[in-house]
Amino acid sequence: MKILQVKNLVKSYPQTSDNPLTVIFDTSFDVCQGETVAITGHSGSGKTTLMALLAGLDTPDSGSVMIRGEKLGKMDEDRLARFRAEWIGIIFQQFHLMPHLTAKENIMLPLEILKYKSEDIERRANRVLRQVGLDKRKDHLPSQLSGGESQRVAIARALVVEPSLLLADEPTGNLDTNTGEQVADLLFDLVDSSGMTMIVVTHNIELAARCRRNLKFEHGRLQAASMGN
Amino acid sequence: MKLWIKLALRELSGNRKFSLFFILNFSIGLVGFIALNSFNFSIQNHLKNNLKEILTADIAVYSPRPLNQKELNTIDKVLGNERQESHQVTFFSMISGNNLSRLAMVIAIDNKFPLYGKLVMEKNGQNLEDNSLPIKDNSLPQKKPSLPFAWISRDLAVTLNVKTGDTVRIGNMDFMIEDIVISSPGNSVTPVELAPSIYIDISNIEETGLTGFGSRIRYARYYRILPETTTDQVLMAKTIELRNSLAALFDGEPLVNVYNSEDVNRNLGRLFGYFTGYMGLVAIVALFLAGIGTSYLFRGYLNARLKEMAILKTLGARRIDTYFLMTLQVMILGFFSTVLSVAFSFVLLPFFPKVLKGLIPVNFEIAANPESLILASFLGTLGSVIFCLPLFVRIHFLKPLILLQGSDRSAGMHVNKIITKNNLLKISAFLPVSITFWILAVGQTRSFERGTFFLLSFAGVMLITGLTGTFLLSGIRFFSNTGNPILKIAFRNLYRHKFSFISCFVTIAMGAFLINVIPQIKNGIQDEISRPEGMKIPGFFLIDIQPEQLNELEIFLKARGVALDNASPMVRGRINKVNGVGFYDRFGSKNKKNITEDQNREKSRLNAREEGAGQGRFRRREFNFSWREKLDVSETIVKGKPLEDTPWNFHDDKPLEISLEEGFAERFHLEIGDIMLFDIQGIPLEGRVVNFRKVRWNSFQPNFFILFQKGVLDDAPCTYLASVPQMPASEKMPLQNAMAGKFPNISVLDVNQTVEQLLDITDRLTFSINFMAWLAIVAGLVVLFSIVRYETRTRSMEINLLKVLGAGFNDIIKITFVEFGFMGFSASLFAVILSLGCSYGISWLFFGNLWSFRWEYSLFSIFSITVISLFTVYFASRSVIMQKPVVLLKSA
Ligand SMILES: Nc1ncnc2c1ncn2[C@@H]1O[C@H](COP(=O)(O)OP(=O)(O)O)[C@@H](O)[C@H]1O
Ligand SMILES: [Mg+2]
Repeated sequence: MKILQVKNLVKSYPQTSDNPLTVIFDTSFDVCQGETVAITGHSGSGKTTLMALLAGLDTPDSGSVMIRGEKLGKMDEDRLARFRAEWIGIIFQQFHLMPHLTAKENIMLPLEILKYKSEDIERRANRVLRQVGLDKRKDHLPSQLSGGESQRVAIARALVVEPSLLLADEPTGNLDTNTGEQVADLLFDLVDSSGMTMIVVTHNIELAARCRRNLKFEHGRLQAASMGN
Repeated sequence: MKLWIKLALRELSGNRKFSLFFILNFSIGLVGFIALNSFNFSIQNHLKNNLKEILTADIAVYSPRPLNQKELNTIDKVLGNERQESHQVTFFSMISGNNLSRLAMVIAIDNKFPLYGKLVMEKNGQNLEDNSLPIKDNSLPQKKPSLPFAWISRDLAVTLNVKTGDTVRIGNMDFMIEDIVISSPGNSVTPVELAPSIYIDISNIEETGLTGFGSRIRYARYYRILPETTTDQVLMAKTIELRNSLAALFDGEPLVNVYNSEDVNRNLGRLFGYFTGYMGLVAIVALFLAGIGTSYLFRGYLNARLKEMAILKTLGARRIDTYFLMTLQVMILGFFSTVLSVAFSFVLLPFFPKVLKGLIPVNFEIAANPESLILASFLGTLGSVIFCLPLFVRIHFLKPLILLQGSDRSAGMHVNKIITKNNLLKISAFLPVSITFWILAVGQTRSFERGTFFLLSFAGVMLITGLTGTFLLSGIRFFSNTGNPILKIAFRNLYRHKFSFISCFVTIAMGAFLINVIPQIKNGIQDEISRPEGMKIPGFFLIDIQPEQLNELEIFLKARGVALDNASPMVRGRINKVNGVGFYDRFGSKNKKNITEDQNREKSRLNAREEGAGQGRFRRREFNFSWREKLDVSETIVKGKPLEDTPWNFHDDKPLEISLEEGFAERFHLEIGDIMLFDIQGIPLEGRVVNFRKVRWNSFQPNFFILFQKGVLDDAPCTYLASVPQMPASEKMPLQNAMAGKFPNISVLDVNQTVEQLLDITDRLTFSINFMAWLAIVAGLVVLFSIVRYETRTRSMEINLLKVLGAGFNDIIKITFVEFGFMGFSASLFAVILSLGCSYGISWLFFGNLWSFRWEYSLFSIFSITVISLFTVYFASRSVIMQKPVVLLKSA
């Protein structure tokens, strides 16, 4: 089953000079349920732009993004927010935790926004906390956590709603090599065990290598990369 | 819902310093307003609860002559027999005692006085506790002493240097002071009186020989309606019925006035409304300045929160949720600001009665009242939201996309970029603030026009200040091209941070403007009152001189080396009609007998204006008329042509020519060309308005609202007003005593004393208004503090970098001081200049060009504001400036 269908996507940014900077040229691709996809490409090639379009955080100039058979472009802002919260998990390079909430509260937040029952919230949060190995640090504020721990909280927060699609933009980009590897291990363990679909943007070759499919972003288009399995 | 409350509280407690500053800042803005309104509500409540004691009756009937039998019958018919009744006669007279004399108000009472309330007296104070009024038990006539009794006010006792047992003289009669009155009902509202009072028995007035002189005597009858359970509605109905039945006995304007406590309430309410209104406006300005600071603080806070809101949005929060979250936070802070400001206001409130002593009722107590607390929490919670609303535009444009793109700071900048393109939205976000302030201003001034005028002038001043700030910025940019590195950096900092410069500049300048403009206006008025330019204020003002005394008085004064100036005849009479319509009918819909076309036209002319002297029930029934050979130096014709020089001829058909005082014409909506019908001692006279005069009343020369053409009043019974020029203080009292002895019916007003009383009142009023202005300055300083604190923090990197690059601690301090010293100095300098301009304008507009420049005060305010700014800046930036540059490494 195709979970993500991208058709003829075009995105450009207005520039001070007349001709706009086109970052994505007519890109189309599909991703199936349970697939893991790595997107690589040099800095400034347009990977983040693509992720933003996939998450519905930005709107394309033309073309469409369809997730679970629903076109993102057709939804209004609030509907999109709701849809995103239910079906799309996002992991950022800079973690983006709520600074005044503890690790556990950060993880519970999406469930609370989606108005889950409090027993459910408690149960799910505890489970993910265990899964990311942070039950001992659950009452710490982000400022009291290390980078690796923060990213694990962010991963837990993205996974706690059990989304169909996980988008990660350079999840290890802000971490040192060792920590990055640990976080990547954790991420793949969790994704693999849950059969979740994931698209990850990364410079990390090892991380990319663990994905089922590898795509390279070049000259505004996605191409199959040679190094996949 | 619970989630958002939790998040809101969490974010606030995570930003304690911000929360604290927000609360402190906004509560300073609120405190003046809240204190003033508590005071206002208290005084209104006090009045409401004491109306009957103030009037001393349920219904009062006043007339300039004793009521005749027909009128008394009417009263009997309307009020019935179930009632108590008390009679009173009041007039002004000279009182002499102990070789001193003083103009006083003689209140002749009967043994029923007062029907409500009580006289508190020095000697009988103890007996009064059980409400057994001494006058009822041992009323004056029963005692039959050798001399009739008098009770005199403490004021008068002090002035005349007399005590109980001493004798005072009123007219031709001696009285023995039986007791000293501490407070009396009726007089307890505004104890500041031009003349202190003396109580005598009503049976003695004939013997004083003063009632026959046509002097201004008021006859009063007070009624207390029985049973006690009579409702206010019934009393109101009776009042109206009585008013109408008595009016029906008169041809034109009735000579009899009927009041009840509602009238007292309305009039006193208006009086205090004026008085607190201006303080209220200044309080509004303080609130506004605090609002600027609040919104500045909130801007920084919101920018820091944008990222979190973006996160919430990616997690599924709707836009409305994010609004709600921020609104909730602001409301929580606003609520705590209210709590704090109410606490502050409790500290302030006790000072009100002290400062306003003599202007408010003696037994008045300020109590916490629910109305002002409700107003306070409303203003605190909603007000803070309204101030922060313009910034909510930022949330509107927030896109979670920023989370993918770059650093935290870009969130605010990203939003800035979008907002600058949406001017319409930006401006409309300020609408709620403007509307709120407009409502507040209208509420404070109790007038649509004045409130709007205030708001517009305020907006104008703000705009000018803002523009000057912007203009200064370009100048600063120019100045930053200097070789001196410190100046260069300081000036560059200023123009690089436009928003904070303008915010600081505007708030400081507005505060400084306020504390300068009010004293500036006051100076002019005070100078004018105490020594009007180009005019000599007289030493004495004489009232009630009988025509046959005029010669004798002149000779008497000449013998003592002084002249009698400006002796002006004065005839009392009534104005019955203007352009064919009853003088007061033009304002209301009373007596709609047969409305002619004339009347319709006249009414529609007045319909648009609701506020006018005709509105109140305290209508002047009689007016004073005079004529002159030539105008006094204190008056000039401002509109129309001079009165005809030839005496008016009775047998002519032509209406006589009238000159009106400008303000009088405005108050009663009279125009040049209007035909007025007068009743002078029973003789109808028709006149036409030909000119308006501007009168400088503070010249204390005899002046009149209405002047007639010569020849009209020649045979009418009149009294004279006159003045006596200034003389050495030591000669004043002997002369006054001599006059009081020889001409007991002539009232002698000591002008200097009156001027002093007026100055005392203006002094206290300006003090209280200025206090509010200082609140505005404090609000401005809190703004400055928060801005500097915020700025130095965001600039801490820059500052530390400077240190790494070799700048010493002193250099950094110098840069900061130059930066903010320049700001404080330029803002206060500008404010002083602006305040001079404005006070000149206001004086010119409203007070006839009374203006005097006191440079000391202005200089002092510039100096002190600059220094205070520097101190504030020092404390706000100290911690960052003192930081070791090593933090640069740590935060990387
Ligand atoms: N908001 C924007 N406005 C203008 N140009 C942008 C914007 N965001 C990204 N770009 C440009 O688009 C290109 C792609 O950026 P991005 O998608 O962030 O690349 P990557 O994530 O692959 O490093 C870059 O050249 C960048 O400068
Ligand atoms: Mg990127």
